[in-house]
Amino acid sequence: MKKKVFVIYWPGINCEEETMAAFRAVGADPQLVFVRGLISGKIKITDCDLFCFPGGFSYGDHIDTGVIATVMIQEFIPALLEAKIPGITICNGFQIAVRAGIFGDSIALVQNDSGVFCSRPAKHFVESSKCVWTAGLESRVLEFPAAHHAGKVITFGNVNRVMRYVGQSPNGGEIAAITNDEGTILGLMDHPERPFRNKHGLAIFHNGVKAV
Amino acid sequence: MIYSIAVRSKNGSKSTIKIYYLEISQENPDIDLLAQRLFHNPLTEELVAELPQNNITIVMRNNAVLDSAQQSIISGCRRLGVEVEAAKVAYCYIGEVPASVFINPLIHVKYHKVPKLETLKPRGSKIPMEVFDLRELRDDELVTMSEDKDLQLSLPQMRELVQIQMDLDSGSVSDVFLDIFAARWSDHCKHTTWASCGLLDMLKRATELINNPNLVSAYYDNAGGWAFYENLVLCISIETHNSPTGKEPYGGQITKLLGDLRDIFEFGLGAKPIGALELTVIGELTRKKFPEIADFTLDAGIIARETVRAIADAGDPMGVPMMLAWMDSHPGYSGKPFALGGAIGITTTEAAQKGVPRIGDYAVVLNWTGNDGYHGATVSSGGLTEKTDTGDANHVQMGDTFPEQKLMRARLELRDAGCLSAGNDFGAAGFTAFIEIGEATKRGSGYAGGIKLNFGLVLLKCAGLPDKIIAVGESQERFAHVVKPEKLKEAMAIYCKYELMATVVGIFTGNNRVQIFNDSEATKLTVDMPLTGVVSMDVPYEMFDRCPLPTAKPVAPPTVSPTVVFPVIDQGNVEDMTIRVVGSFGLANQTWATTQYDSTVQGITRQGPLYGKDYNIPSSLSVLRPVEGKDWGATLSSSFAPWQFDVDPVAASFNAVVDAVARQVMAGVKMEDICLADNFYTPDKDPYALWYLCEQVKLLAQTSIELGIPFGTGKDSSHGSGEYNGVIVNIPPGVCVTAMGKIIDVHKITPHTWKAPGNLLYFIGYQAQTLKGSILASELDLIEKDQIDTMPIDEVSLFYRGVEAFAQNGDFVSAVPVNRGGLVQKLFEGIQASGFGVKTNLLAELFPESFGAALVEVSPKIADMVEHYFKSQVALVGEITADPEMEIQGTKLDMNKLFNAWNSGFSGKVVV
Repeated sequence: MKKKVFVIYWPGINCEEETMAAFRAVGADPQLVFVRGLISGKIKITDCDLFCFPGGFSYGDHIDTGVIATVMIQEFIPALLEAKIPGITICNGFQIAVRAGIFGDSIALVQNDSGVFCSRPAKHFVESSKCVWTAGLESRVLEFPAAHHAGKVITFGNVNRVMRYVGQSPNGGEIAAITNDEGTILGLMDHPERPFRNKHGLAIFHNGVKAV
Repeated sequence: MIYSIAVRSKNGSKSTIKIYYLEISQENPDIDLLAQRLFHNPLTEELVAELPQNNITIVMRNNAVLDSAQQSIISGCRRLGVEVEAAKVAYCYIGEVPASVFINPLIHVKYHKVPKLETLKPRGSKIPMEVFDLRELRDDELVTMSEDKDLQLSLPQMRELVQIQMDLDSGSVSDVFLDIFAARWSDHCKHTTWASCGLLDMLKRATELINNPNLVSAYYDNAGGWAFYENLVLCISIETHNSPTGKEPYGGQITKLLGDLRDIFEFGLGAKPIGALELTVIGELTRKKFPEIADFTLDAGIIARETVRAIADAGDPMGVPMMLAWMDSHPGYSGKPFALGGAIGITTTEAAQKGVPRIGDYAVVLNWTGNDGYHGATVSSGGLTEKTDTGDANHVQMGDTFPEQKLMRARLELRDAGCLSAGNDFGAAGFTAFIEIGEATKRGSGYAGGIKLNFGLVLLKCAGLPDKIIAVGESQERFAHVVKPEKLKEAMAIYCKYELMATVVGIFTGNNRVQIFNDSEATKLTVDMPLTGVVSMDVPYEMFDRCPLPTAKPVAPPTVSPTVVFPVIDQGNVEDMTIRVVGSFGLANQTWATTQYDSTVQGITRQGPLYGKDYNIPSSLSVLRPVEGKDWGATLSSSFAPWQFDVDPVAASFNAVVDAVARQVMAGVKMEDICLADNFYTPDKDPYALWYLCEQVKLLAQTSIELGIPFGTGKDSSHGSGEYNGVIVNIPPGVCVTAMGKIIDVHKITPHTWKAPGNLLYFIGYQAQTLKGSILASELDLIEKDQIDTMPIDEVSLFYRGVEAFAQNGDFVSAVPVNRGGLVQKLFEGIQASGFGVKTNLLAELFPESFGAALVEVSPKIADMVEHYFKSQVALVGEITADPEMEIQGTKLDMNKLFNAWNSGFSGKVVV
């Protein structure tokens, strides 16, 4: 039985197809779920084995990155956390997850040090953590691209680090990925779903599906 | 009532405050809730209770220009229980406005005290339709009318309109009538200059003669179609955009990029954009050949920055990977940048042909109509003047990414659900898109066209927009869809799913007439309904065919005797010359700009716009792998060298073709799998421009036939001159040539990066002998009309067949084209990309630019074979060495100096 993955879609998201391709590549069954469907009650957010907040520019990133998308989905977050459903939040999806408090209240994502968007290859050292998405990948350097404008992680207390940048950081920060206290939800700015069949990225997706 | 919420960064600059203005009628709205949940992140931002009163500059979009954030803000506030009617985002700068902030008077309004705003909504009262009796006007009055109303119609065209009025037996014609005829007869839409010389037919005939079975659609749709693999088709659209003037580049550059993508959306019955192309040539940054125009244009550095900002702001959210991007500089583009953009897409074979409306189909317009972009098409017929470039808000263009991005997804669902009979984007001439579709019903369907449009049903951004602006205004994010009546409900559900505004505004009639009226009560549209309310146009389609064409004859330029003497390049100056080349604006490190464009979204990028160990060398060929689970590759290359066109416009056009093709063939793409796109951009005030254009097209057609590689699409703009205080600025007569190809397995693409020390580097191709038209010549200020070196046209086919055979066989370990900057640039880039070095015995030969040639890396084992096959078209350049050094005839160049020049040649002039 394939694991069902809800890939949440807000208007302006632009990475949903490659993200679903990554889940398909590791044997899961990704389904695109419009946030409108959640709000209308047609779809229940916990009717899945995994969830994903993909990258993009939700609502044009108007006001600030991911903020309107957060307002749209906020009421469903407690149910998601209570059900302990593993999830991966990528780029804009990570920004939404951070705003929604999935990773606690001591973290924020701010503009890159360069002040501009950065699209380039990036290297990520996997640290030891309880994150299910990187289990067994510790000490490896995973390569997948960065593409963001506001991806620098700043912390105001403890966060659960999962990856750090090796070499040039696309945003000037050190932290490349974090997880929640339970280690079930991964948050990262860079894109393990790019390009199709990137073995480094797929290793992460494979772990997530395996963890269910 | 207008509410405001002000926030500023806790840790960043305290001198910038962001202000959200909200217009709300609802009683007791919970503004605090909005501030806490939506407009303010308490970890990083703090609310500002009171704005400073002095020494401030508050900047926001003026009321006529809708804030692109408005719709999202309304959605977010609604989710929190507050109904917002209008919104604007403003920035308050305390003290000096930062140098990086560009305040455009065409877009923005600024205050030096906190404003008391009465409304955030566009204001205005309906401007009534004007009518004119053309029959009463003398020739000089017709000319004056054309000028005053910015119609850009010639006297013969105006006279023909008089005759049309008489043939209609009408006492008057409306302003809508005039604007629609002006748009339909504009150079942008009718390509009058090209039509008068039979130029398009020339390229079409060449394409027909080549008869490549891969060609699915050519010169018919907004984009050209090229068979991919199995049931898939690639499409390509490249466009030279008129709007990014030296006064307002930001909006125009956005429009360019989004316009290219729209051409892909609406290709056939719908396609998905999978790649974008960006090229901008700005005026000079240091030497100022035209100091007189400084009062009329922005500094070239600002234009460059605004270009990058625009392409990033619009392109990144769209989610289409940037395949190739570069910027260049030339004085001819001081008045108006050369703004070229392109996109490629993919669709199914079934959806690759343009659709045809049926009688009774509905005309559905997507999104709102405003006053941003009036006379975009006719401006293309008139070139730039002080009048059109002073920032008359009539042709301000501000494309809005967000609705277009949503449509990109909706469009494919509409295609797959079979909801549409046809579609088009609004382009530069607004509702004439529907008129064009309505006419196309004649093509192959056996019945006449015909459309009724009711402007009373159009959703307006601005209260009281006159019908003439509704008719031809651009409002970039609009689309014209032809919806089947039986699928209307399903189509509307798809629009709704993606939160798109869609309105039925017309019906296709088959009565062969264009009928426009304004009656907001007439909501039920039928084929036979009478025209009610204000009727602004009712003419038979065939009257649009009566456009008189220009009668200008090409005049050949006089023969000139070159006077330039190029310096001898020797051991004493080779380092200085190399620094001049690698540090030139167009060849220097442009990573600051290129990495601002998302090049990996969609997960399909195999080889993006940059490569090398530090990801900072520009690719000459971009490769996508667009189909999940398949190794099929779509390849893109493009060539444009402004200095070459300055010196020898005709030969340079040939060089552009062979350069674009060479990049593909040396990488392993078969010649039969390549198609071409042309983008001509020529000056209208150069007396020899028409001659150059005709000769260029002839040569392109001939080269295309020689190579057996067809042109599948093309665009032209024939008005690249500006006049400023009596000073005429002409662009060089030029053509950018882009090649799109396919390859069955992307793993077989020859890489750019050198692989191993000990391997040999060979130059293969026709070796240019002089510096004419080169980057080095431009840096030495040694540019004058002359004949540049080109490969003999009768050798191209045989030569590229040879390159193709070697590449297909995998004999090239790496390959890059030798073009702008010559061999020396490619050696420098090779070192930067690989971390290896090179030892060469060439010297002066390193600097001429040999377009169409290649620098290939081969194993020493096959050196004899390469030399034997290519004979006179091969030269040993040198050997790859282990250390990152450039050794020329025993002299090692100072790599630090070279690197510093290369690293600062672009960013030092653009980045602040």
